[in-house]
Amino acid sequence: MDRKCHITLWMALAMLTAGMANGMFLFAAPGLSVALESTSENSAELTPVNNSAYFVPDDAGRSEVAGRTYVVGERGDFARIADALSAAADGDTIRIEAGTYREYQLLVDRQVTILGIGRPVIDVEHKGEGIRIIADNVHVEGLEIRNVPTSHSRDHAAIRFERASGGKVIDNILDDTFFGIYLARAHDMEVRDNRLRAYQTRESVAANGIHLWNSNRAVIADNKIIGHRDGIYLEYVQESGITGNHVEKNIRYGLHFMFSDDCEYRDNRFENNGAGVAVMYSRRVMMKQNQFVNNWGASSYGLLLKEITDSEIFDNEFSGNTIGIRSEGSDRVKKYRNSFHRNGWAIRIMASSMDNQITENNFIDNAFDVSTNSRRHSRNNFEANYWDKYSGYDLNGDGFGDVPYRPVRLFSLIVERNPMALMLLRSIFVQILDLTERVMPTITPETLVDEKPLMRKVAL
Amino acid sequence: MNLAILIKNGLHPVVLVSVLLLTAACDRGPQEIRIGQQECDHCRMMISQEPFATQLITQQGRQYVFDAIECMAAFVDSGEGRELDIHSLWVPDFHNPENWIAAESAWYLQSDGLRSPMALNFSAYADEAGALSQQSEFGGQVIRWVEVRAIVGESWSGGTHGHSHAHVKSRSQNHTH
Repeated sequence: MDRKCHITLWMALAMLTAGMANGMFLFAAPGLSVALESTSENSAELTPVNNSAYFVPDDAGRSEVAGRTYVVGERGDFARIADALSAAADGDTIRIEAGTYREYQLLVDRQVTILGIGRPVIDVEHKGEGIRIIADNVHVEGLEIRNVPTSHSRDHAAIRFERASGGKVIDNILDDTFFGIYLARAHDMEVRDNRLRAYQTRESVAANGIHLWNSNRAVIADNKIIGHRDGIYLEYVQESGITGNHVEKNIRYGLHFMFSDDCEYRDNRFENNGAGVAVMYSRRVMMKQNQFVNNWGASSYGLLLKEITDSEIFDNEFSGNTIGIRSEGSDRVKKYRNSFHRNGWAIRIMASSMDNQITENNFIDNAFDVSTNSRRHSRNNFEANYWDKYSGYDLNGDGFGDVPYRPVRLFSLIVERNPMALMLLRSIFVQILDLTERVMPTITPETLVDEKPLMRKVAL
Repeated sequence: MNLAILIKNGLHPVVLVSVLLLTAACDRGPQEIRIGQQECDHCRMMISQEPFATQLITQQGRQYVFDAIECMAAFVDSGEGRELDIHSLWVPDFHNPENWIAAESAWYLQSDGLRSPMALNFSAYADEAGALSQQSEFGGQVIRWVEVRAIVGESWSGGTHGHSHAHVKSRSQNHTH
C-alpha cells in the first residue's frame, strides 16, 4: 500500500471519529461508508476459523480483539441464538448448529457473522419479526426462517436491515414469511442465492419477497422467489443490480420499480406472475437478457413501462404474454434485439409515449405486433425489425423489404375501443378489413411504420 | 301494484320517472373492488392492498378504481378527472377496509410508519379518534381530504417526473404542510 492510501485511510478514520462525536454517524458522507466497508473486508479476510485473535480497527477507530466464535446448539456455548447475539462483539462469528430454534425478534446490533451449519431452522411461530439488523457489515448465511405472520400495519420480515449498510444475506431459505428480506435505508447490500417461498393469495394480505426502500448500490442476485406480492420490489433505490433471479407465481409483479433511477436488471426469468415486471416512474433503467414468460391474464403483461425515460431494453425474450410490453408516458426508451414470440400483443404503445426507438427486434407469431390507442401516433421510430407477417419483397437485395410495413392492424384499433370485438379475430371479414387497410391506410396511424423491414430474422 | 292505476289516480308519469331515477341514484354507492384483478385507473398498477384501495363513482354510475388514496387525489385533479361528472369519492377505513367512507368526511394520517402503495403514505379513518390513535403509534400528521389533495398536487406537480419532488417530500415529510 502506498503513501497516498495511508493518508486517505487516516483521513477517513479521523472523519469517522468526528462524525461519531457529532452524532452524525448514520448520515455520514458516501466516502465514509466506503472507508467502513474496506476495513470490514479486511477483517472478513482475516477472520480465522479457529479462535486466534487479530487486531482490527472497529468503526470507532479504536482497536480491539476480534474474531471469537460462539457456537449455538445443544452442545454449543449457548442454547439460544438471542443469548449468543448479546454476548458477541463486533467482528465475532456465531455458528448456529442444525436444529429448530423457536425464537423471534432477534436483534443484531453488532457487526457479526451469523452462519448456519447444516441448515438450522428459526421458527418464528407467527409471533413477529425474524431477525432485525441495525449494525453495519452483518453477514447472514445458511439459515432457514419460517412462519413470519402477516399484518395490516406491521411490515414483519424474516430478515430486516434497518439503517445498516454493507451487509450480506447469502444462501438462506425463507418459508412462509410475510416480507422475506426487507432493506430499509441499507446501502451496499448483497442478497444472493436465497430461496423464498410464500403462500399468499390475491385475497389475503400479501407482502414482497425482497423489498428495498431507500437503499442504494444493492446487488440482488441468483435468488428464487415464489408466491409473494411482488417478487422483488424497489422504492427509491439507485444504482443497484438485479441479476440472475428466478421469480415466479407472485401475485402482482415479478419485479417492481417505483421511483428508482440508474438501476440495471439482467439475466432474470419472470414467469407466471400476475404480471412480469412493472417499471414505474424511474429513469435510466437498463433491462437486458431477461425472460418474460407466460404472464397471462385479462390485462397482464410481460413488462409495463409507466413514465420511464432514457432507458434501454435489449436482448430480452417476451413469449406467451397477453401483452409483451405495454408503454405509457414513457419517452426516449430504446428497444432492440428483443424477441417477441407468441404474445397476444407484442407491444402496446400508448400515444403518451414519445421518441422511442424500436429496432432490430423479431416479431413472430403474435396475434397483434403493435397496437396503439390513437391515430395521431407521435414520434416513435420503428425501423429494421423482422415481422413474420410482412409479405413484401426485396428486389435490390439489400436485406430490407422495398415496401414499408405497417405493424398496426386496423382491427387492433377496433379492439382498442371495443375489447369484445376480439372474438372476431380469426373471421374472414376482419382479414379482408386488415388487408384493405394495409393497401390503402385510412385509419391506422400514418407515422407508425417500419420503412425498412428486415427480410430475415435477427440472429439472437 | 299496478302502474296504470297509480297513474290514473293522479301520479304523473314524470314524477314516477323521477322517483325511479332517484332510487337508481341512491344505488351509486361504492362498489366492490376486485383485489389483484383491477388496475389503478391513474397509475396502472394492479391493486393489491385492500386497506389503501379507493374508488370514484361518476354520476353515470361508472366506477374508477385506484391502488392508493394519493392516486385518487391526483386523478381528481388531472385532466381526465376534471372532465368527469363525479358523484362520489370513497376511501376505506384502514382498520376495516370493507367499510367505505366518503373521502370528504374521512380523517387521514400521513406517516412514514404506514407505507402506502404510491409512497406518499396516506391512510384513512372513519373518525378523528381513529386517526389520532394511529398517529400515536406510527407518527406523522393527521389531515383532511382538502389537505391530502394539496399535498399530492404539490408532491407530484412535476408531471411525468414529479416523483423526484415526491422523493424529497417523503424524506422530510414532517414539514409537508
